[in-house]
Amino acid sequence: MPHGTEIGHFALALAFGLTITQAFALFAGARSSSAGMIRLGWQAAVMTFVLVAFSFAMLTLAFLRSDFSVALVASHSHSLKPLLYKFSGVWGNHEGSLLLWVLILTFFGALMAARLRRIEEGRSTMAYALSIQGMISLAFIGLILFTSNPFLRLTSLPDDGNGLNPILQDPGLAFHPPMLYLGYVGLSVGFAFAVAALIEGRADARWAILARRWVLLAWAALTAGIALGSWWAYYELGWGGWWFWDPVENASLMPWLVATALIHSLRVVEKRNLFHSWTVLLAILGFGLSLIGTFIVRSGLLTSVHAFANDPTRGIVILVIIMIAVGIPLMLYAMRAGMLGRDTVAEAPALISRETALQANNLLLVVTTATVLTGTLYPLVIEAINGARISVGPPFFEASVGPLLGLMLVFLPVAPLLAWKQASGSKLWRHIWPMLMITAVLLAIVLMLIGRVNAFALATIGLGIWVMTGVAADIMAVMGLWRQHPTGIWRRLIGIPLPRLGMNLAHLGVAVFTIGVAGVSFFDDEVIKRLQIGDHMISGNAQFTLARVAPVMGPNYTATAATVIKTASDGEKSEFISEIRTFPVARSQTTEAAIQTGFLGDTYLVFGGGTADQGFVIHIYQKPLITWIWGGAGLMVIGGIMTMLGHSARRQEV
Amino acid sequence: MTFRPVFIIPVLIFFLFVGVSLWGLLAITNGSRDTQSIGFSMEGQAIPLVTLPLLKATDQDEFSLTDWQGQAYAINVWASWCPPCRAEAPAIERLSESLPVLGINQRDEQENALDFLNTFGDPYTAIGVDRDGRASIEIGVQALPETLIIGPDGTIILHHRGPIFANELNGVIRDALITLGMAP
Repeated sequence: MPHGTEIGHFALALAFGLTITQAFALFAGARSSSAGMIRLGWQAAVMTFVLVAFSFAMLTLAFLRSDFSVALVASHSHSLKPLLYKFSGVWGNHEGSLLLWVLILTFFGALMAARLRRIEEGRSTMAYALSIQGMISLAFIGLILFTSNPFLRLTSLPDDGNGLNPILQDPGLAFHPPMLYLGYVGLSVGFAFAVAALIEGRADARWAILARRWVLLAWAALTAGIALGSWWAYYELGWGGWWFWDPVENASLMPWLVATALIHSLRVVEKRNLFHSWTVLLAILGFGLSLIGTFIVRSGLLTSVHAFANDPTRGIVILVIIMIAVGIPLMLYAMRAGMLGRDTVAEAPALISRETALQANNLLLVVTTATVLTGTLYPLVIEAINGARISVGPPFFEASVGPLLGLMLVFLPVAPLLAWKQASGSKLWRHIWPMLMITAVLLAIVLMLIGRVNAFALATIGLGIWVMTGVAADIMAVMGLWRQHPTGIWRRLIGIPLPRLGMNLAHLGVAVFTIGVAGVSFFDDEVIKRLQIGDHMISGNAQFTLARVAPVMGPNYTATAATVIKTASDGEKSEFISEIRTFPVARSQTTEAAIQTGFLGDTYLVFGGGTADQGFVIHIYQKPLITWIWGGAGLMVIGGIMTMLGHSARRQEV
Repeated sequence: MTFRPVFIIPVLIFFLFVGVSLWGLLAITNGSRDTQSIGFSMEGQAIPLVTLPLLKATDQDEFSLTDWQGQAYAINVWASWCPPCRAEAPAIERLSESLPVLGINQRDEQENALDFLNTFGDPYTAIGVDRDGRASIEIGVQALPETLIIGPDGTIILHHRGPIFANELNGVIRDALITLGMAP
């Protein structure tokens, strides 16, 4: 299709018009209970998705065919680039990534439309929510068409493109943005439901059931997206860090923390019809913070290593969208939050109850979010007040966020063991004391094995083990192992409801993650030496010998590779190859670290350049338990998805 | 119970955020704020003539920029704890072939600093010890490593923030040397 780009552009403009139909037809339909208007609305939502998908496909085609007459392709792609990166180049830039954002947004719109078509109960809530979705799509498609159009052509044709920033040419980064957007944008569904609740003045159990699965899906995707980004930074940036407290990272952490709180408080609305106004606020903030995250990445507002695009004008447009999209719901909230729970006459829960525990979890998560937000925006506020340039770094975040999360981990394993409404202290104690004993014994064993004592390290590992014992206790409690003779274990294990199993898997993920963080933070080790060929150095009980340094040719780069032979204490040999890559088209260099991954930790080797006369710089890090960080995140993702699936399946039976 | 003042708090905090962000963006637009580079530069001004103790004992008893008045030289601020300083070591060595490079060793332990020189080479004509970082502040240094090129009249020709690699050697450093009439 020679005019595919123009047709894609046209499809996007059509989608823009359809979102107006979607927003207004559904709003009117929900208000007047008009089946015809609602049908028109959901059909518009499906059609919008089809058109945006087509437009995205046309842009992708332009990238795959290296059509350099399209300005975006010329400035972000190159004919020599490997296929996967021609593909990921579509969203490796501001305009294309916004289009991906909108694609996911309208995809969720289509999913909601499919549900709205069949739903009987709560039809007006769903219609309002899809109408709000339409308004968000309208704003963002407008943003693309009027300020960030990816379909513009160049008048003069360049010979070849500029290439994708080489540091972004990586499978980890090809999938990180789509996952992250799936999470960010997925939270828009919870947001839309929250605004629908405010319009209707009601947030009840049925509302919570409708909203919760979407939030779970978004939460799982956000978790995966953040973990992929962290993993990419770890192996690609060449200095072995996995989290830097950069404003852009904080921007993704804040919605995650709020979404985590939201999952838990929705459960309270669903089961006990409490926390209405709080839950609705969390749902608004979850998506609000995603938008603010997008805004920070793209406006150049803060100094960040993630220099995406420094365009304050575009920033102001996004800020105006945020002002409308978040400001109006928050004003609506200020006026109507009090009436959300008007239908319920639920009695206040006792002090020892699952409600109280979940409230503690929510408060801690929100305080943590506020802390991260404060640290991220503090330099900006100070600069606004007296013009001083300061930066808030990892020490602030580690000292403030660490203890808050630690406190949360103290309560985490207890909450599932508590009954709703009023829990019995003596029943709880029956679970707690074996958990405490097991934690103490395991911690003592760990202490004997490592032999080094650092109170913080010990506390962090202890919390990880504590959470694991809670997971075990909860599974045993659900299976009834505390009361009955353990027969038919397997049948009862399979009989555990999927959401309960998912929750425990996610909590296990938190425990694994915590222990991973303890390993990397407190037991890492780093050596750096200048070696001649044949020289060796020692790191982590193994000897590393520099075998050779040789040039290498890649598909679109040239490299110098250092080969280092590791001789473990048992004599086993393995090879590390670390490269310094030079990308001639993009005129930049990257370092490819050589990483040996193991269950107990990674050996991370970086070649730092050098000459035969002066020797070659070799940098070796020991990163104990670092894979547990991503393993833990993976368990959280699987747990979240299991809970969501179980939730949906149960709904269909009802 | 339809309205409670507490429900207004979120929207108030939100508009505070919007206000500060709007200020931040407008300040970038009118040029009074720059988030892509940091700090100010003293290029074109005279270098403050700081005096420091020496890292290694030599025939002189102190490190003083006054002694270098009348000739062109470079200052490289480094520390053993600074990874980019390690990375730029080969480039500093190259730079020292064109003009004398004075080192300022900032907030460091003597033993570690000497180890660093043994491992990565010592291209410095003299090294001053800036234990509390005050001298670095005086000459406008913000984060390590930074390199300055000073003309014979004591004027700062170039103040480069961040490590020096081949790109810088062939770019800004070369330009500064051309200004001094010293290009290779």
